[in-house]
Amino acid sequence: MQNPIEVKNLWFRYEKAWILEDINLTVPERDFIAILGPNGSGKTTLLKLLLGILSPDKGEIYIFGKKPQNAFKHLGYMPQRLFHSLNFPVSVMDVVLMGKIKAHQIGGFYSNKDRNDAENILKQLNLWELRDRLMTSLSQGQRQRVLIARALVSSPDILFLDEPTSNIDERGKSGFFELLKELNKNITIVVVSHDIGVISKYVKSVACVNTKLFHHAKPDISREMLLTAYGSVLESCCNLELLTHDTPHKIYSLDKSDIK
Amino acid sequence: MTLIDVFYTGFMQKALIAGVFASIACGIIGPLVVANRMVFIAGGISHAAYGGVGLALFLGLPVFSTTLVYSFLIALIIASLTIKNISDIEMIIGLIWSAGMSLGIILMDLSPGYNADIMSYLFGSLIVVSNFDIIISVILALTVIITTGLFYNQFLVLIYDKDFAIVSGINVKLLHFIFNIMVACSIVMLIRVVGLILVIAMLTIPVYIASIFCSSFFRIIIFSVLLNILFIFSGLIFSYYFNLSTGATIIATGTISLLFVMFTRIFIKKHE
Ligand SMILES: Nc1ncnc2c1ncn2[C@@H]1O[C@H](COP(=O)(O)OP(=O)(O)OP(=O)(O)O)[C@@H](O)[C@H]1O
Ligand SMILES: [Mg+2]
Repeated sequence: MQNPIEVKNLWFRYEKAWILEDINLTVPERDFIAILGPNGSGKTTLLKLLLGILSPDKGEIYIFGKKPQNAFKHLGYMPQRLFHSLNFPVSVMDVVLMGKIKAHQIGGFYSNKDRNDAENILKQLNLWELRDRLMTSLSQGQRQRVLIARALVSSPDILFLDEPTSNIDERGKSGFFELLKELNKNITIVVVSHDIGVISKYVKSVACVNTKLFHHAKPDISREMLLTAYGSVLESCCNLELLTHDTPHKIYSLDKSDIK
Repeated sequence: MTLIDVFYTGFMQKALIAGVFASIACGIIGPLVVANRMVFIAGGISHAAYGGVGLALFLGLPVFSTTLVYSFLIALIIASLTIKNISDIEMIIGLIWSAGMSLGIILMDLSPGYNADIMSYLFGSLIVVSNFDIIISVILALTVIITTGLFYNQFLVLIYDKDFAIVSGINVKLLHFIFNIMVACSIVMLIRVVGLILVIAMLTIPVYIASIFCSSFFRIIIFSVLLNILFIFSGLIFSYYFNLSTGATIIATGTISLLFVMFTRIFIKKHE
């Protein structure tokens, strides 16, 4: 069996400056990998490359040994945000069913099985009551949960989640990561998140992205690792502390010298 | 002449038939255009189509079919430009918009024997619909219905979330081209009825009214088709009785309806 994700010497840029330089990454079967990094470090870009939405300028990406564009049956994706959603009249159910779209099926009707699967996922994520509501009438957090449902309903082999919990309340967060842990028994999960505190309890490996990528196969998220990822971004230091100590606590100020 | 008699008038019958098929096509395409934020692009295609009208008159070719082919080409050019997110796209569409119009005007200037019905392509007219035009209208409307029916869910996913469409394996590029061609189809049919200057109004007004009442995309499409038929019928009849420009009368009917609906809604909200 091929590895779910194999990246070799990947380079990518939108314009002149390289956003990702010489990325190498191997994700084994049933890994649960967190991608960390400050804003603008290229996490979303890396995800889009892995999903085949963007194409590399140099290097290669393989999903189960195939090009991402040919591996769509394996992929589930929850984007960081939607841009076109304004004023578009679709219900929660409609959006979740989008996860069931069959690319080459002509005459697009969703089957009863598709609807049952959507129903199960919606119930699992406590969204069933909202099924007939329009997406535009939901709060940010509710919308985010619908997008998670859409990603899950396609029962993918690799699940890509781009900041899935950024607007979700604390109870929802731990519930959600418990669900991911359950799913992770069968599938590979790649999650971008700034919720390092919660995520450190669940992930099996960590990739720190900041133009370059540093992959750590073991879950011991060290201060050093985070420093390579987050540099001297001070806000992150709180998270950093949360992560490297077992007992969560908050640090309100921190000297730069302290991070050395 | 009574209303019934009007419907039996030959040219009026043809105009109404052409109007129904244009209504169906643009009732389906309009909501997709609005949701896809392509109104400006649709405006570009319809105005650029004037180049096709000019070309037809200059070369002495049938206007409807020549404009159709010409618009397909324009749509293909625009589709290949918009498939990548180019930052200057608005400027380029604006250029295609005005260049197409000026080409049309220059070709008409050069055409032997000045054409009195130039205005009818700008503002629509009853008297220019031939049997051949109607056959083409039927074919175009059927093409739009069938294509949209076949790829309905794919189109929705593509418009709602293009990245997700790519990840789902949908052939985004192919659909993008198909969609642009369908937009061109409906636009050329509309030019026949309301004239190219008023095409955008016909693509958008029914959608705005429908979105107020409908909570699903499918219903918006159905409602838009019905509204289009209503506006075109009443507009045609008004324009006939009062001897007004067809296109302008149709759009005026639509605009008044939209304003009526909007004000009624505000009124009801206040007095709830
Ligand atoms: N479509 C684009 N065109 C040009 N530059 C882009 C585009 N998208 C992103 N960038 C740039 O690429 C870099 C990486 O962006 P990316 O969205 O991958 O960051 P990120 O790590 O996901 O950040 P965040 O934590 O804010 O989500 C940024 O500097 C951004 O400005
Ligand atoms: Mg991002």
